[in-house]
Amino acid sequence: MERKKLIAGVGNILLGDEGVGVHAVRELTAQGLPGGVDAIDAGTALGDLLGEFSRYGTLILVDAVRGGGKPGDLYRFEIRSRGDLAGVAAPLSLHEFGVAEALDQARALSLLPPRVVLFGMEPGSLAPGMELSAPCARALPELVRRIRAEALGCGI
Amino acid sequence: MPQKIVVDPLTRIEGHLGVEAVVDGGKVVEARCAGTLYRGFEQILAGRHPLDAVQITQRFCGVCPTAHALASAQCLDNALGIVPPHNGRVIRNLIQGANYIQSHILHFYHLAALDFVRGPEFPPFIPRFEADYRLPEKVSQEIVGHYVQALHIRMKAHEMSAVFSGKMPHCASVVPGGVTVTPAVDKVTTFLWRLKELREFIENVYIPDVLTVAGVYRDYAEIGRGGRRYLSYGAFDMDSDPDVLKRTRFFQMGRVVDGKRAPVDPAKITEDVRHAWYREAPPSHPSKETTEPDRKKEGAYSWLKAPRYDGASYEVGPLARALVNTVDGANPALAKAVDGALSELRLKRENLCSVMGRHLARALETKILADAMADWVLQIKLDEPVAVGHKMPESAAGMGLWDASRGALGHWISIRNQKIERYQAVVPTTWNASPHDGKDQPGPIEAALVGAPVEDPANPFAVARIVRSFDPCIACAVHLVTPRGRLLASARLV
Repeated sequence: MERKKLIAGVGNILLGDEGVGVHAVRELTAQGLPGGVDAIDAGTALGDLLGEFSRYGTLILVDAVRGGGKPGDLYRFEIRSRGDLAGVAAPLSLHEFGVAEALDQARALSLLPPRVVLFGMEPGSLAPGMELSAPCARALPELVRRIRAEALGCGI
Repeated sequence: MPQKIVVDPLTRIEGHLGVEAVVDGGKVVEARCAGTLYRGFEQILAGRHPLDAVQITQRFCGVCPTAHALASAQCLDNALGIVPPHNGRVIRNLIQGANYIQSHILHFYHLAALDFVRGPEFPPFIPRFEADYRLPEKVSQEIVGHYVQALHIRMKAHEMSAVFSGKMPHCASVVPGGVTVTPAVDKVTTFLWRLKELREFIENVYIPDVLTVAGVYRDYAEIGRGGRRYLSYGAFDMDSDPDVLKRTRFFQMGRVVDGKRAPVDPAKITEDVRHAWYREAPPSHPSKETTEPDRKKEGAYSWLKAPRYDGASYEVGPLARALVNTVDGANPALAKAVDGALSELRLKRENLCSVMGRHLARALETKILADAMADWVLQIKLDEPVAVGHKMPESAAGMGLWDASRGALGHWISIRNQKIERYQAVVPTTWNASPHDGKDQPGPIEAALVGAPVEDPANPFAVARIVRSFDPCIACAVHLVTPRGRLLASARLV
């Protein structure tokens, strides 16, 4: 039997586009999830969820990613080994657990699913506020569409 | 000659807390602790429906959302003039209790222990300061092994919270007036089974490990002493007195000043912005203060304000709770546990005010709390209500005082036209990591760093150990992934 897939939306919904991962998960859940796929609003507590990861065959993370593009640009990373996120997000703490640290720790503890994909969106504004900026709000449906395609196994 | 060292960021704690210390003659003579990130979440709440506060304030922080939920719900209870019924009170305590346990275990195994125990040579165990690791190899390995076990135990604690909070990390069931979860036998048994496993871990692994480390690093029962003032709002309501100051709590509210217990008058709490990047204003009460950033302010060095009680700085957290609850035996179980540990380690009571004292206080309260929770969960009355209703007044004001796992957490609300007019939270790390104030008094961490031994300025491990013993957490970090190097070249979609 194929193992289930987990979509985890990461971010702080009080900091504008920082919360895009959570917005994406809410949208995916509202539309209805495909069979065999779970989605979780990880908020700012990704580290608390490491134990959950091990129950899945695929982990799809969604977070704001600063990649030098324009606000609303989308990214997709296949994460195969520790080096794939080396040096990324260095100032992040275990407390406000960053994606790189969470994955490092999960890997160290053999909790990481065989397949990990990170979807990201370039943020526009990180000012306190609970709405996405206009370019990110416009890009959200496309992000959600691509995550859904990935979860259905017909991603790129 | 004095030399300035900068520890920024303090890895493993929080990327947005930095410490600048002046070292002279192998010791820290002055320290400045800076929150390097602006937090202005409260402004989001203005104009919203008051009930939204419980959900929104939980997002302040990924570590103690539960405590924010509880403080916010109590703030609203107070504003609406309601108190939870028996079940609501008990279930709130259980949700918070499970969160304390996971938070303390996280702190010891996943944040603090690695200052004293040499971990494996790969992330997240490196990079690290090459500290003086004194434990025998075999003991070290055993404790590192518990790091993995602790992760499993934390999961169980989260599951316990979720049984009654609906979901974790951000709980759904805590509301003004009580909780929304219906108690059932299967929930009680699910909770109890996990609690049993947690209590075994605390008793047989966590406490022995803390005692082992404390027994070897005896000098750290002297280092990191800090001020002489401690504050706790208390936590875990044992009755539902509408007046929070009269309510009996499992960990009681109080202050300890120079070894003596004193009461808390919330009107004496102020925040001082003399050395913080906010528009200069006299110290004012959280229900009245303004928060206007001023990035160019002369003499400012932190985004944290300086909370003060009656004009003085106070340490908050497990050590403060231990002192408030044991100086006159307010919590007999905690007093017994503290005395027992001190005598086993051949330490004196004053040794509690130290790096090791903070770790001990954290571990011991975990144990007595877990023990008490086994009774509390059986106090749930299956066919009784879990919440009381309310009518939203046109205008009202409220205050929620509650100890998060890492210390005193206060929420203040004012409601006007049935909307939030203003909201203010003063969080534990703001107390502990506060900058100097208008009278040039240092914050508690700054004070605790003075005298810290620093032989090699390139490797100031004592500084890291002291700061970490406070379990600082500057909420609301922006944790944005910033791809660099080859990641920039990887699959870009649009």
